[in-house]
Amino acid sequence: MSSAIVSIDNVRFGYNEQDGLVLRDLCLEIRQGSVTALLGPNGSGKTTLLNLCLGWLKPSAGEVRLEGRPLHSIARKQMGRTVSLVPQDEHLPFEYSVLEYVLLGRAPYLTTLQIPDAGHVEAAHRALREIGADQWAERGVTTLSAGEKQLVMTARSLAQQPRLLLMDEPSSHLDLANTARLLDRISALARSGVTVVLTTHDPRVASACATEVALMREGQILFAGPTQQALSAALLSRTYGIDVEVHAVGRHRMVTWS
Amino acid sequence: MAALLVGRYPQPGFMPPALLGSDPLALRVLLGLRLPRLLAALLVGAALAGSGTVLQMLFANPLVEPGLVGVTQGAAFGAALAIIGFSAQPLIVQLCAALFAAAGLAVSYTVARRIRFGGWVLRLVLAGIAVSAVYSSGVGILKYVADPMDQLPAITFWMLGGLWSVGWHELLFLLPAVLPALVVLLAMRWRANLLSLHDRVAFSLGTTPGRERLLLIAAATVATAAVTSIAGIVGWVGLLIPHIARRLFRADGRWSIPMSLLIGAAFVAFCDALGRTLLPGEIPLGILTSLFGAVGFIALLVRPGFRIER
Repeated sequence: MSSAIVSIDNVRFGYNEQDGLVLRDLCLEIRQGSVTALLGPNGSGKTTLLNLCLGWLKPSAGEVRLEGRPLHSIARKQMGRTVSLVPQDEHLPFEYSVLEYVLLGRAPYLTTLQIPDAGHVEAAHRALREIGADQWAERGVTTLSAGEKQLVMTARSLAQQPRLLLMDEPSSHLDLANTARLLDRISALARSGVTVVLTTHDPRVASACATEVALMREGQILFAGPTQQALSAALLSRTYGIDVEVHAVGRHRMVTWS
Repeated sequence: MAALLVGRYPQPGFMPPALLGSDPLALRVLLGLRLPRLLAALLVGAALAGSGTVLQMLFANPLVEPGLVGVTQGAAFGAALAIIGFSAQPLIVQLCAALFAAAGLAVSYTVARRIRFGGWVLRLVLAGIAVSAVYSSGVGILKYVADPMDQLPAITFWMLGGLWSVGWHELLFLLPAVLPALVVLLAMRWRANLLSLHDRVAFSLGTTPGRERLLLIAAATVATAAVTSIAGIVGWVGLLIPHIARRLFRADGRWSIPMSLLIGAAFVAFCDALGRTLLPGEIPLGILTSLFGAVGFIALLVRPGFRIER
């Protein structure tokens, strides 16, 4: 059994006092080399939990540890070299080329006044090749389709050479073919040693690429464990609050409801 | 070089370079009047265009310009106050303009911190608009109480923008503020790309986006406040030139920021040379930059392929 890269101990979090707690006494361990899906209905606290793992939000109580160290004791640059985020979408107001955009992933390896050199440009090309997108290097980012943009955002994250990749609803804007392509890439990344945590409200996404699933509802973890166990009719019915049936189709799980 | 030889001495148009050897007055006009004025025009253009490019990147909004965060209107209010309160002594007008420009940014920033909704960009833009409006009202009141024979024309002329009062002394006042600010903008030209991303993404890349943004905003404000205090309101440079630089070169700050500085400097120097040559009475610089700037912006807007999202 591999060790935990992220440990979340009794974490509570609320955005403000009026709205109450978004996460309540939440405990979770993310295992090194796993693809963990945070699965749950809208508003269950998945993205908030992802932001806590990133260090963007600080827990009101409890602690998040990365490789055994409290998250907020880790220097910003070191965090940038360890953890990376692929957001759900990104507004890009200027016509950067794909290469220029992916090169931004090298920021944790540069000082504030440093300009990336040829080595960093090669690292950006390598990240693009890894995701099968090097042919787009000179294209403008605003000309990319939603699927292409998702892959390019992933390449920007890979240029950071992170050990932990956080992905916020990675397939929410994608059609079937692009979803399949992206989920295959995620599985390949995990095989190369990168730990992936992704949020999704779609059990099909979890069944296609996750090795572990944490089911979330109302800011709490209902169940965390291997995907096959998590995607049961009883657990999914509790998670989503409706009666569902789960059908095995090959290695995938299809979820239907009456 | 051409701008140095252009003017209304000894006759409107080009001064023959040979005249410099034979006419001591020509040499004095060139070295004592035109050279500091040209250098000031280059600095004004570089500062406004460079600040505009960086602010557009920081706010991830291609419609932002230095006037947005209360700087320009703050400078206008400070200058008008000095003209009424301190008999329009140039140094006091400049200091007052710089002071209120910086105060404009400080108040915008403080108000933005206290707004309890929206992202940082929206909050700062809203606060900047409100603070600018307060300053505009103040300028209106000052104009209303100003002596219509003396003070009102001085305020109006200052707000039209121009470099007629700039000599070596004023240039030396400008340099210590503008040069370090431009060095910061240039030094952080690649970093500005990172700060054009959403805060959360910039944070995930190991930056401290709040602190780094503040440094760049401070540099852009110092540069803008300093040149506005000398030259009055020189509009449209900070909005249009960044678009031209991005279109002609690349959106990446490594190219767009230095190129904005160069194009902005050339544009203001050209407008200033034109303004002091065309008519016997000088055409205020702000009128020419606004005219060319607005026409250029319309031309850009209707071009195929030009778009502004969100």
